[in-house]
Amino acid sequence: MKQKELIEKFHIPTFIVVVVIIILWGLASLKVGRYLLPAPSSVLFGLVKIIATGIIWKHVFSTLFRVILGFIFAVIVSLILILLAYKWKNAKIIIKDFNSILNSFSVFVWIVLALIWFGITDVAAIFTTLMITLPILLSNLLEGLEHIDKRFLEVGSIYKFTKFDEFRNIILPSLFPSFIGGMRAGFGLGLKISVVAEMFGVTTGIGYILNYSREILATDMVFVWAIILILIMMLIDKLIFETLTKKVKKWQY
Amino acid sequence: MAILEVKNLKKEFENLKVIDNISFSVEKGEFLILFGPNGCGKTTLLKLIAGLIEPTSGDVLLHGENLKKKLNHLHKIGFVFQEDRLFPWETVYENLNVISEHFFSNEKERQVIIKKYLNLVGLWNFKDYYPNKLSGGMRQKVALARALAIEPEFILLDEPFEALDVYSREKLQEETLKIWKETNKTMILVTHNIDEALKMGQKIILLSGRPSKVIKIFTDLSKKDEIKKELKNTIYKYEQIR
Repeated sequence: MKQKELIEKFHIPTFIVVVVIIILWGLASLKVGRYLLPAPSSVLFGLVKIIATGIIWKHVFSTLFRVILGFIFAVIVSLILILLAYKWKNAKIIIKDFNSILNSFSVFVWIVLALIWFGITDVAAIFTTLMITLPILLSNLLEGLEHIDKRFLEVGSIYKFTKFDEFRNIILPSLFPSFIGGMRAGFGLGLKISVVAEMFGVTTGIGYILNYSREILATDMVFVWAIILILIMMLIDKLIFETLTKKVKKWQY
Repeated sequence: MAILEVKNLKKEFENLKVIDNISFSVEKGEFLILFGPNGCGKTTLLKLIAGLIEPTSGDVLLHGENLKKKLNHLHKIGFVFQEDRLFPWETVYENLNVISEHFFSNEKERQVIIKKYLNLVGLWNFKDYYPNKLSGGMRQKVALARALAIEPEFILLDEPFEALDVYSREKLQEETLKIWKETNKTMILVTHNIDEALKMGQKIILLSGRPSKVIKIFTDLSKKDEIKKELKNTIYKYEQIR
């Protein structure tokens, strides 16, 4: 392998910058004190500790359970709505208008409403994730629907496709590339928002434990959970969304 | 006996007359050419025959029965477009399968049919490829196999060789002729290419510029030079008017 390829494959420049940041972080920690900025070593120690004791799994799984469930609901609802928008022009107008309204809703309004309606339960975080990711998914699907290649629909007409066949065999695959983009952005935002919702509403999850760490002045643990959050997002992006993107690239011209 | 009859067909788009009182018939197993200058409405005529658009007046009869009244008439028609129009998200096999499954519910029967036609166009070994990995000529061959995979009574070909380079075009013309002879399917080819019309057709219907009318029907294609001259003159005449 050539040197240039090695540098690209292992992200050497990023790795060097990260090392420099950790050194500067260590020095800054000595200067400002451990409460404001814990040392990298104590963050690493905290990380090892929660992995060794198993605490990490309880909170990670709680958060993932809520985000994934809320996200799956959003995917199902958005697909049903796009089917309606495809089938009826009036439904498309209504869905487009309501999507604009949903897009302008503040995240915190949904969090507060979820707490009022569902109390301190998992449902509150699931509902918030659903309401935040739904307009992102819908916007991408509606945009994709505008750009369906009419020539493929003509093929469907020639070979007697029903509306459902057309949706399954032409519309959905045509929308898939833009849907992946929406899912990627939606899941990322959903995870971040769900963590915020957990700070207010539940007694497990990364959001809850982040807030709890702040309350007991364990800033090093705030850093640990923040790093875990980043790692989860990167892992899911790599394992799921990058795989889906590769699948699409396989057939795209 | 005529498999297909086109009777006094007219088509207007708002106030634009495109097809003006066209009548002709196609015999079973015939290779018919619809020849006319660019923009004369050949594709519109083909879409009318396929039932993709409704005529303003006139009829298309299949075995003497009006196509509009035949609920399943599309069952019998295969269509190859100017561009391949293969679904890019499906493999070659699946491109044939998604169309074929509307007409053959038995999966094993479908597999046999798909294999037969992919073998016929010489692309069975490429069944798991996505269309983006194939050349333009190969994609057009898959499109032809797709049209055949519903076992249609006749196939409509809308200038399918137009977008190909000279070499691929000639090769595909020959292969289409070979398939026509082997399958004995009725084929209707739309073209404005004189050599192609003379090479492929058994019967040529010469159409005027828009609004399209039948100028002449050539059934005896033995005097190729004379026909060539007549086709050329028609093209020149209407190109100048345009």
